[in-house]
Amino acid sequence: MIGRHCTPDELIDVVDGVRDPASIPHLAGCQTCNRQLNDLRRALADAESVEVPEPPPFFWQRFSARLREAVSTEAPPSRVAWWRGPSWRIAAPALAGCTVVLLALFLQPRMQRATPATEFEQAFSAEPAADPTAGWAEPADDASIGLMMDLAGSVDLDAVADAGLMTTSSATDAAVSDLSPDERLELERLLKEALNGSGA
Amino acid sequence: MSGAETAPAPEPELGGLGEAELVQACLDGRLGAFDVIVERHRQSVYRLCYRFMPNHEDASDLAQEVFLRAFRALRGFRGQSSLGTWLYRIGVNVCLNKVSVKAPASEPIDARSHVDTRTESPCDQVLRSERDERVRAAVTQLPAKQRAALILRVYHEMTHQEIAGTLGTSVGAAKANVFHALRNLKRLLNGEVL
Repeated sequence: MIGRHCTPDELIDVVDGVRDPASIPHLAGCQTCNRQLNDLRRALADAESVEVPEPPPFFWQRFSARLREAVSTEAPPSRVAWWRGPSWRIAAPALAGCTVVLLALFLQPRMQRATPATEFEQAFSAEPAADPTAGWAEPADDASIGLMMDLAGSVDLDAVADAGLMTTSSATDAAVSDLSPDERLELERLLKEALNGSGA
Repeated sequence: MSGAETAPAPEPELGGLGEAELVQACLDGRLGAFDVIVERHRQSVYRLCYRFMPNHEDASDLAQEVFLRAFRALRGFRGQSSLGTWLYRIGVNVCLNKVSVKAPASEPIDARSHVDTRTESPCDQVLRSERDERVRAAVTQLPAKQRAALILRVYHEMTHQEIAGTLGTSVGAAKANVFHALRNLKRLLNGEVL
């Protein structure tokens, strides 16, 4: 045996017939490499002998019909109006969503300024707020809020969630969407009444 | 079975067009031109897909996916390679994506009886059919890149340079994939587990 064993590259080149085995002196004297070469040739012959069977009758008819139907639902590959292109189909709702969020952010401070604060809100937003902890200390002056904080402090939130007493952010939406038209009208009336009652 | 039985027949003048003209006709909105492209390449695309997914149903789904992707990407076809090579590239990508998420299923033995077997004795047919099935099953167990390299090398007679271009690897890596694919195929056919 002479030198190192053949590399995969050399063996594949010999199998492919692009390299003369005689150009690799090691091959002539190495049983291991020869066995590997024969194994590769046999595996290649096994693989080559397998043909793709003809598809069943009417296969191509069905194939073409299905494909034609699928293609007909596609937008043409060219001359697509920019507002009908796939990117805009995704971008348009996203853009609308962004606009709503921006409008909400823009209008929210104005609405808050326009709405007189309740006693509770005034307690939390008392001026001046130079000390960031000052806002937390003040509610304790209100006896009812102090009581609530004492009670809430001992509550195990995990236990409350397990008991199904906590709502998710979408729970209100879900509840409203379950209402009948009459119930929604009644809810609207009650809300208006409550807002008017609070001076809004 | 030839592809001539497809209905409706493509516009007659489209049949004589070259690849570039057909692509341009598609871009001009003549869907009949795409029918011609499909008719010309469906056999080879289907065969490629069948090598990856050796059953007619999956291969048909894959081939359809290949043509749909080609249709969507037709505007990007620059004609730097032939339409067939371009479709091949799409086909290999579709197949590689699919085989990585779905375990291939071989054709049930009764559904594989469409090979022209008129010159074989029934006994030979059964033996060959069983051997073919074993080889197909073994090929489907190869790692995805090895399988792709082997299929392109053995069944589509691509050079290692072409395989490398199609799989987006170096020529050395393409050769290594073919080497390991053949070695593993031999082991699988001997009943070993990879």
